[in-house]
Amino acid sequence: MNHIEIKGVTKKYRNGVKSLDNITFSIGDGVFGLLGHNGAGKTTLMKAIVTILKPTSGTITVMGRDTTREGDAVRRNIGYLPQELNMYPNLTVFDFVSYMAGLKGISDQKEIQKVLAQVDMQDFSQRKIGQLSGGMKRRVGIAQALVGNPRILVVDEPTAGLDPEERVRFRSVLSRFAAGGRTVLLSTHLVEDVYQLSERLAVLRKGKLFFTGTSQELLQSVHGKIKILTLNSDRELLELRKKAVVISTTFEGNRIKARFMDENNTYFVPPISETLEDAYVYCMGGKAHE
Amino acid sequence: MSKSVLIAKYEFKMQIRQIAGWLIFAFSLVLALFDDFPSAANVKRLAELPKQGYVVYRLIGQPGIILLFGLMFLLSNRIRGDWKKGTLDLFTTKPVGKAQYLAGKILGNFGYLLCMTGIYLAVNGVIQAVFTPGQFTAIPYLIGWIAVVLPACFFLASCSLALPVLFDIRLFYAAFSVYFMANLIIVPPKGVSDLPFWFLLTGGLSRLVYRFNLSTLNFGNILANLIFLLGIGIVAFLLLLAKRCYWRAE
Repeated sequence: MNHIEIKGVTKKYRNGVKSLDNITFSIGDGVFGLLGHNGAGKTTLMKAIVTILKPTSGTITVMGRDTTREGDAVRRNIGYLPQELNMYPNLTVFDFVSYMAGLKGISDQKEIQKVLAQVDMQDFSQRKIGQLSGGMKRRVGIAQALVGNPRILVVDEPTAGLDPEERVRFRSVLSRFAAGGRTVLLSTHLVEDVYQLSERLAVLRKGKLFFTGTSQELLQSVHGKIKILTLNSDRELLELRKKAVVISTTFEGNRIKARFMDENNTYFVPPISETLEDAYVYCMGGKAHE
Repeated sequence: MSKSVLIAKYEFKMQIRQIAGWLIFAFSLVLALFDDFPSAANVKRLAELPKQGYVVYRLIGQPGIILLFGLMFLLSNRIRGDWKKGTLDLFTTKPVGKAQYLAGKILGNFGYLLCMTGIYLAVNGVIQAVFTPGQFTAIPYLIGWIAVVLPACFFLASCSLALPVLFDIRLFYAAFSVYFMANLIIVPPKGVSDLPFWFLLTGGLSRLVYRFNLSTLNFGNILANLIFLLGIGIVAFLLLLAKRCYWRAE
């Protein structure tokens, strides 16, 4: 069953800037990754899903409810963790989560303790938010989103700026949430997050939907086309850039090792195994330029 | 619990824990005590000091204005800060209405101002009860708090929360600094029954506490002061409610 249906969604601001351009796709249960550069329209799309923004045209339904006409019903089903999370520094963790729970109509203290345990914050419940590390603050943010057991969790760049240990912990929380037949919509520009968590994903570029499907399908689009070439000078690298999409370069002494996408099979070197990052970079810098 | 009351509760809780608020309170308290310092000018008022209405009028009139002026800064970012820092997204993605949010914010901060001014008057009342000879009664303090301070707190809570969202916050600070300065500098004439209606704590309402030998009260003047304070507060709230850009699109 599709929990979120996005149909022909366009968001145009008063200054004429089109942040989303005729986006259509649907999201079922499990973790769904939303990839794209900064400014690709990920946050705008998420804000439209969680009812903060109203699309200029098109419709979004969440659990069968229209986000513009049945906003409160949608909000009851959604937990949201914004990208810029500024919580009140002089409230304790427990107070803050209780406050947010109260706004959802939940006053049961056991529920608060439960969500704090889910994010491993029960031992810090009486600590002031201003005294927490960045990772802990993010965990409090996810706790307030989880309270009330929503069907859908929308998280915007949740792992940005976190250390590897916190990132792994965060992924585990999201994965555990999604395991119960619920939906996590994860926006990120870190391919690693999507690779670890999502079966399905969408790639946005300049407000347009560039790809939607499974990670395997995205990998398939670059299968047999990723190659490595060793170059002797910057000039050769420039030449390569004219003919192919260079994904990454590493410098070894005077030589340059270029990992690139050979779409037309111009270079007679054997292909190497592709990664999701290759496919993503190709999406962002290759096909999108056509 | 209603969502507005819930928001008010946490707003009050956050504000009352602010150390800066207590520092402003302490400063005002010291100023209030200095008001009775035996300087030449103060000694001239010696005969007035046993009159409790006079003491309350003085407490409200000058250190009280400084207390409210300081607390104004702690209030000015409560909604604007939520909006500019993105905290508002946590409210707009929950089943909470704009009016509920605004009412809760204003109610919580109004309660905070009322609480701080109440403690300020209570502490001064205790000092007076202990150190001033004669029979002590809390009635002038209660009248001062309810009739004069309460409308002023509503006015200040509403304006401090609304105006920085409606206009540039620097403009708000500048305008209100001038307003408070005028309240401090312009000394209400003794015995005159029609005080400027736009005074915060020393307008017509203050005559309910101390009359300066006036035999009758000018109720028109009292009403004008009350209408100004409550009216401007309500208008500020309504303008904030009408402004669309900071709340979710509905």
